[in-house]
Amino acid sequence: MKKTVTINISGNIFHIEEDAFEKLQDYLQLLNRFFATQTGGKEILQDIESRIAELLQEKINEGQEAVTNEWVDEVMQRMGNPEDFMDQEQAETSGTEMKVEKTKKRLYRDGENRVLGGVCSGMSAYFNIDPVFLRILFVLLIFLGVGISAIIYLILWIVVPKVRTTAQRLEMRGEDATISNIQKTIQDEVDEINSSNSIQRGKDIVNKAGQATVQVAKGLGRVIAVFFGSLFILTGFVGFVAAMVSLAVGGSVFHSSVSGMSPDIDLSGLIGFVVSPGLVSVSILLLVLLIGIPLLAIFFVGTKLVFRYKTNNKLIGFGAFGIWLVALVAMIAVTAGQVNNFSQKNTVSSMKTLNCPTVKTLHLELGTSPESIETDDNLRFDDFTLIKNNDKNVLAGHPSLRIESTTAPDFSVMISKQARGKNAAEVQNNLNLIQYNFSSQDSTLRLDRFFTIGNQAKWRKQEVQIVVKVPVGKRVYLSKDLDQLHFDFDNVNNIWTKEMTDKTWMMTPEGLSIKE
Amino acid sequence: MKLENTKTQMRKGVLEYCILRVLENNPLYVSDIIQNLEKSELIVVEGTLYPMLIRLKNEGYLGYHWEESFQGPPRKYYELTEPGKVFMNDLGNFWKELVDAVFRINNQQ
Repeated sequence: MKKTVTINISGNIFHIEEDAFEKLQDYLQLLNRFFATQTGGKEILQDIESRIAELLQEKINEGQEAVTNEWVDEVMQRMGNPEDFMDQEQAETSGTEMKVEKTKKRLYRDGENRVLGGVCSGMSAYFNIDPVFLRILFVLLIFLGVGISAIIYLILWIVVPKVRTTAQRLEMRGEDATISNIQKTIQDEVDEINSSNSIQRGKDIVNKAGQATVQVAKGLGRVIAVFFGSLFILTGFVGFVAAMVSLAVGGSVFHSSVSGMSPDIDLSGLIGFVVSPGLVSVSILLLVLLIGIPLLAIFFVGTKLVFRYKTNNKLIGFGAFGIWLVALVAMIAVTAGQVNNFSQKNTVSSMKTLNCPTVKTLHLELGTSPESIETDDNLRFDDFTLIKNNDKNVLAGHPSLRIESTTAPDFSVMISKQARGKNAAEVQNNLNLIQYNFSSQDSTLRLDRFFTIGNQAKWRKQEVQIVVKVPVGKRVYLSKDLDQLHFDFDNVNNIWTKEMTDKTWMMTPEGLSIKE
Repeated sequence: MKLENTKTQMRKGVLEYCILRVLENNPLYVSDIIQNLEKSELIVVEGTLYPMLIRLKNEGYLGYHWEESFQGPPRKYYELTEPGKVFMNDLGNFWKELVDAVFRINNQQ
């Protein structure tokens, strides 16, 4: 079985076998180059082509469908080599002239000695240097951060044509494309096939030749495929590496690649606060699978688009999809298991009287917390922020603040802690681990910005509420930095919470009232 | 090999005259020219013919016209022009001289 190509020779349509086509193409190119330097070369070629068409047509009329290699041989025999064509007066002059013309080199991609796209091997043939040297140079440039060389490679890959015919191969090396040279090159290739592991190598070359023809036909589609393929490879690869590094080491690479999450997240660290230690590795593994498999899939689709290799990857594909589904189900199960850890709930409150009956106005402000926190850069969820404290991850909660009136003569502070857990004992333990500090000095009450849930504790929806009780008739000044706490209190003036700070308020029986 | 070279050179010189001669009475399509010449074993490879045809055409000794064919694209018919006829006659006379010369030399031996 042989593949055929349809060609048009001076208005006649022929089906021609692929190898015969290449031979004929080589021959015509040879003639083309030969006559290009002569006056009326175009006309000569037209005449020759129509004669070739006629000769082939005669054969077709004898009852055969496709042009074979033997026919082309016959035609070439009949028409002869360019060396035989020379007219007497041209024989002397054009002989030297043409040599110069023909040794012009052209840049091609050498698909037969390729590693990736054959760009380096093509360039090495063009510049007559060792391809290994060029490859090392390219790889080094990419690793040295000269990323543009990767783009240049891709552009060359798309723009530079691949060697398809023997004449082009000679052109790439800058050798004369005479019949004898072509025969020599073909013989070299045949020898190479015979000496290397014969059948497989031969199949490879036939395969490559087949692929090359497809590439011509789908040239434009190929360019698009390469473009999107490269994009996929880049996305898949960068995303995968970033996700894996982030999960394994807990870096800050994660942000830009996969989701819109803010930088500096330590995903595995976060998991550790929610899930018990035994489950941490399991859930990290599950996350690796859940995120990694789709990214790898994108990567492979990309490589398939770019390198067009054929794989029997249905099994791998379905297998990967199956594993992904299992991981999804397991992730849901792990998550659902966590619900049980939240089933019980309790609240404890402690009250402290400030013991300062003479103070008329209480200054409320934010205590200086030991951790310097840039709020924007930390991961927040459900009123918690993951902060770094002495290089350790700390889950810090945001307390809420209320101001109420009291009939007692003195200011007082009530701290209510709430936590959940699997059972009453665990709830109690979680409650005990919650740490929240405030301090009072003279007429100033300093409230910490965060409460911590304890180093060993898991996140169990801990909450802290501060209630500052103000006796009726006394005043309270809310400093500006209290904006960072969660506020909730009614006031007579109906002022929006954000505008309540930096003001002094008087407690009336109806509630807080503004006092300039 | 040497012999082949010389033969080729000799053929080429005569070929020009023969082409004109074949076209003397009626315009011919390239294949017909080839058939005529092949009979007399003047052509080894057809490729020789085309550059010569074009050169003769460019020098004004040959003209051509296109004719529709029953199958396939139109065919190019070459024909002899008036200057061509003069040129052919000159060549013919010279050819006779050559033949005579060769004949005489052969007889002297």
